[in-house]
Amino acid sequence: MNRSFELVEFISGRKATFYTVLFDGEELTEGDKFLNNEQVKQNRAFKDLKHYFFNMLEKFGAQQQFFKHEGRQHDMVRAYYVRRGNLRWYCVYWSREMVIFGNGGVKKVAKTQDDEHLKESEYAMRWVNQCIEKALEEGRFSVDYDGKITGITTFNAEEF
Amino acid sequence: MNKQKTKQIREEFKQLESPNARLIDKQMEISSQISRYLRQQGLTQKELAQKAGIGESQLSEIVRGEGNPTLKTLVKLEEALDEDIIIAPSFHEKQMTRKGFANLSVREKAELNIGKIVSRAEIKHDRSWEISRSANPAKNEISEVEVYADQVDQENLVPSYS
Repeated sequence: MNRSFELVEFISGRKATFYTVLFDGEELTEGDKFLNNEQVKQNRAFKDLKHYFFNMLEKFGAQQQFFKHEGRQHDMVRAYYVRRGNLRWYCVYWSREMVIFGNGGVKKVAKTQDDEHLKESEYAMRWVNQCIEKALEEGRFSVDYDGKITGITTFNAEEF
Repeated sequence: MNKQKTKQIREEFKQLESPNARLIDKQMEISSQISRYLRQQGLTQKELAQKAGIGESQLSEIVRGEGNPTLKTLVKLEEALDEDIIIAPSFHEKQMTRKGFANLSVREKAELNIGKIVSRAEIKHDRSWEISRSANPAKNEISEVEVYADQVDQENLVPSYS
């Protein structure tokens, strides 16, 4: 999954700005793929997820407790989820003002590793996280107080 | 990137309406308040659950914004935190009267340029403000007040009047 990508603004609100990831050669961003996934769209909790999502954007900010830690111990990979419908939406959690959403789906297995699509979605966000952390260390990536990225948004795989 | 397709997907998403919208609003408000008190008091969820005498998984669900706690459970949490989680509108009315806002019309509030002192939460709990907002000629000014209030009170959605 070590592909070049670009961070693009997904949806923004008064309390937060959400970004998503566009991998090289893809027609849709990862966030849009999630929203366009038929299984997700048919899920009974999808409408609730939308309401939670916009409440974060407009009223509450992306508070940590709404996200579940899914990556490695010290990374920023989380899953935004609505337990009722077993929806998992992988992301890189930066702050309550900024989150980068990836892909995800409906979790029907006990372990994420047993579902190829979910596993791939999670690993993609681990890669994004890894690149961001490196860019951060090098002083090439930053986010301002209201959640807007001020550093680089294009990440070439060769550099990371 | 296929911009047209992207736009269509996002528009469809935005137009979804949850039948549980009001419930979710309350769940998230309760979640926000408990999380804030946990931070302020330096408590873990486990410690709070023990103190309140409720299950850890039940508290975790409430804190995630997905719980449907009984009034009894909320009272247990309030007692354990020594804070109000459920705040009746009359409470806000008293506080706003004390601050001299309650008797002002929406227009007067805007004209007084109270944006610098009013908190986001006070706007949120003033029903008349919300209702008349769409028809009010001073809409732009109100928006400015809201934006400023958001900056002032980014951290606390629900006011602390102590």
